Amino acid sequence: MLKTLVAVRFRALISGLFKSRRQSKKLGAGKKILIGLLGVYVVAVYAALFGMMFYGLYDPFSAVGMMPLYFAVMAFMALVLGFAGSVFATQSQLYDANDNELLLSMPIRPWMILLSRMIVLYLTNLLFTALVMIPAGVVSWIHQAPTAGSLAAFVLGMLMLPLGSLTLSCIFGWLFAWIGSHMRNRSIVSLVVSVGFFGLYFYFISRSSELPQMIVQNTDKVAGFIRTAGWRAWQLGQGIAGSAGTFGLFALSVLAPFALAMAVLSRSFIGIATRNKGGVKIKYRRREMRVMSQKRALLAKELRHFGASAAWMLNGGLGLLFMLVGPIMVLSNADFIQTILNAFPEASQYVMLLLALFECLTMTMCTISAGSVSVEGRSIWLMQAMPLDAKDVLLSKALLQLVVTLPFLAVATALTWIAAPAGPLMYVVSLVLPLSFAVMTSLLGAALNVRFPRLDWTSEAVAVKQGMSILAAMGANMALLATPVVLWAVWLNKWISPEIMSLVVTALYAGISALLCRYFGRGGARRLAAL
Amino acid sequence: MLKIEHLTKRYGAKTAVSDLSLHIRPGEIYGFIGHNGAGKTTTLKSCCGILAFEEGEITIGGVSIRQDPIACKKMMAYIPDNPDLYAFLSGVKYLNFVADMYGVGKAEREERIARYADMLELTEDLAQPVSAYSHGMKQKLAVISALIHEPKLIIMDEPFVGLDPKATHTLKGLMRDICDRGGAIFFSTHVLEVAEKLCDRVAIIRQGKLVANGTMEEVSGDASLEEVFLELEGDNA
Repeated sequence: MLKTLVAVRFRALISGLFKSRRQSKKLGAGKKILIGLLGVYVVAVYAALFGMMFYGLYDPFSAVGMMPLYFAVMAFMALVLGFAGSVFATQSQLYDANDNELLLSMPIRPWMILLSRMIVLYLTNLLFTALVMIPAGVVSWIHQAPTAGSLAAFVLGMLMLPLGSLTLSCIFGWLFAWIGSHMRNRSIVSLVVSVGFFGLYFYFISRSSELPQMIVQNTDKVAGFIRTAGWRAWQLGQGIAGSAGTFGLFALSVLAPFALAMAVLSRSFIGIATRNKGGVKIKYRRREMRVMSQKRALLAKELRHFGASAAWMLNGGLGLLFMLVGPIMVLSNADFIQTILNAFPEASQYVMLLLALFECLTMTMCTISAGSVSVEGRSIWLMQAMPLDAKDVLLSKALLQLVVTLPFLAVATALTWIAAPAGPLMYVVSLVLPLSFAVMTSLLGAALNVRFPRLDWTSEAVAVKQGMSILAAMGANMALLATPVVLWAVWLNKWISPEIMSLVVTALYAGISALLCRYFGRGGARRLAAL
Repeated sequence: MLKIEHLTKRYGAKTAVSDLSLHIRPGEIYGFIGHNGAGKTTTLKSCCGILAFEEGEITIGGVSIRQDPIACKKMMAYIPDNPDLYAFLSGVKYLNFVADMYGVGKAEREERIARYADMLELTEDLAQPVSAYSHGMKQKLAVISALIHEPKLIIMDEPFVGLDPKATHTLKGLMRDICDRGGAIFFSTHVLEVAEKLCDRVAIIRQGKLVANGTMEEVSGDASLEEVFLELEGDNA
C-alpha cells in the first residue's frame, strides 16, 4: 500500500514535468533529454558553487584545527537550504493537497497517507542536503582521506539531517496553512514570506564569493551563532570530526522531534486535511454595484486574479523588483561612478542608456502575461461562452503585465534621470525604449501563452512557473533585447549613434507590438476559441 | 429560438455527433437525454459557440453561431455540468463581472442578483470567495449568473447535479417561468423522471445520432420515458 502511495506521488511529479497541455500528450524523447540535461546542469551549478565555497574554507579551518566548525557550517547550510527548499512543498503536499479527502475516503490508514507524503518530502530534502554536503565532503576528502568512523558519521548525518529540516518545514507549513485559513489576504502572507526567502537566496548567491572570507574572519562569531541557532548542525559537525558521543546527541535531537511531529500529525491528519480552507467567514452586505465596460471589467478581473495568486506574483513579476536595483546601485555608489566618469568623460552619455537597457533586461524575466491564459485552467469556458471579442480577452492579459510593470518602470526611470543626467535626446530614449519594450513583452507573453497554454494543472504554480510559454517568453524577450545591442556593438556603431539606434529599436518594438495586436484579432482569437 | 441543422462534430477520427437536427421553439423546455459519451455535452457546447463543428448549422434567434457568435452569445446563457467559476472572486464580484460582460445596467443587476440569490438562498454567502463554495453553491451561482442578463435561451448541462431538493424545486419553477415568458431552455439530464415531468419535448441521442424526439406523448406514448429510453438503448446495442 505504502509503495503504491509513494509511486502515485512520484508519478504525479513526473507527469507534471513530462506531459504537456490538456491532452496529456507525452513529451518526446528529445524534450525529455533536454529537461534531464537542464536538471543535471542545475545540480552541477549548485555543486560547483558549494564546492568552491568549501574549497575556500578548508585550508584556513584545517590550519587552525577547526574542522568541526567546517562540518558544522556545512551542516547548517544544508539545514537552511533543505528547510527553504521544502517548506512550501510541505505546505502544499501535506496540508493543501487536493487528494487528501479522496485518499481518506479509501480504506487506508491516515498515518500511511502521511508517511507516503513524508517519504517524498524527505527525498526532496535529501537532495538539497546532498547538494551542500557532498561537495563539502569531497573537498575535505581530497585534502585528507576520511576515517571509517568519520565517513560513517558523514553518511548517516546526511541521511538524518533532512529529518531535522523536514520537522521544521512541517511546523512552518502548518503555521502558514493556519495563517492562511484565518486571513482574507493569504496570498499577501505567502508573497511576503516567499520574497523574504528569495531575498535571502539572492543575498547568499551574490555574496557567495565573499562568504568563505567572511566566515574565516569571524570564526568565533560563526561558531557561537551555529552553536545557538543551529545546534544540530554544530553537533553533526563535531560528530563527523570524530566525537561519537556528540553524534549520538545529534541523532537523538533529529530523530526524537521528527518522531514526535509524525505522532502529532498522524493523530491530527484527518482534522488538518478536512479543515475549512475557505478562510474567515465574510458576512454579505448589499452595496451599490460598480458598473464597468467589458474591457475595463476584463482588466479588473485579471488584476484581481493576479493579486490573489502569490505564485503568479512571485514567478511572473519577480524581475520587476530587480528593475529598481540598477539606478539605486548607481545612486548609492555615486562617488565611485563619478570617479569612473572623470576618467572616461565620454562614457557619461552612456550611463543613462545602460540603465535603460538594464530596465529592459529585468523585464525579460517578467512573465506575467506568459502564464495568463494558462491560469484560466478549467474556467477557460467562461471566456469562450461569454459574448466577448477574443482580441479583448488577450489584450486584457497583456495589459495586466503592462499595468503591473508601469509603476516600477516609472520609479526606475525617475531614479535613472536623477542618477545619470545626460543630453535631452537621451532623456527621451530612456523613456521610450523601456516603455516600448514593456508593451512588446506584455503582448508577446500573451501571444505565446495562447499558442502554448497549459490548462490541465492541479496547482496554479504549475501554470505560471512551468510550461513552454514561460521559457519561450523569456528566451524571446532576451533575444529581442540582445540582438540589436550586439549588432550595434560589433557593427553598426561606426554609422549610427546610440541615441538613433535606440530610437530605431524603439520603432522596431512598436512595429512588433502592432503585429502582435493584429495576431490577437486573427490567429490568437482562433487559438483561444479552440482551447 | 434554437435551430440545429445536420450538426456533425468530429474529434479526430471519432464522430461525436452525426447529422443531428433539432428545433427548440420559444416557450419550450427541451430535454436532451442519452447515455454517458452519447454526444450531449458536445452538442450543447457547439450550440454555445464553445466548440467549432465541421458540418451543419446552428442558429439562435435566426442568427448563425458561426457567422456572428457574439450576437448569439448575447441572447443566451450556458451552465456547464461542472461549474468551474473564478475561484479568486467572491460570489457577488463574480456576478458583477458577468453583468459587466453582458452589459447589464446597475439597477437591473442589483435587483436580479438580490432576487435570484434570495430565491436560491445564496445571499448570505455572496461575500465568500468562490473557492470556499461547495459544488451545490457553485451550481446556484452559475444559475444566477445565467439569469442575470435575462437571456432568451438557456443551455444547461445536467443543471440539477449538486443542488439540494429545495434549490432543485426552485430551479424547476424558474425554468418554467422563463419559458412562460417566451424564453427557451435546452438541457441535458440523466434524471428521466425530471425530464418526464418538466419537459415539453425531449430528444434521445445515442452514439452521436438522434434516435427519438418530440413531445412526451410522441416519444413515450403510454409507457414511461425510462422504459422507452432503455428499449431504445437495447435496440441499438
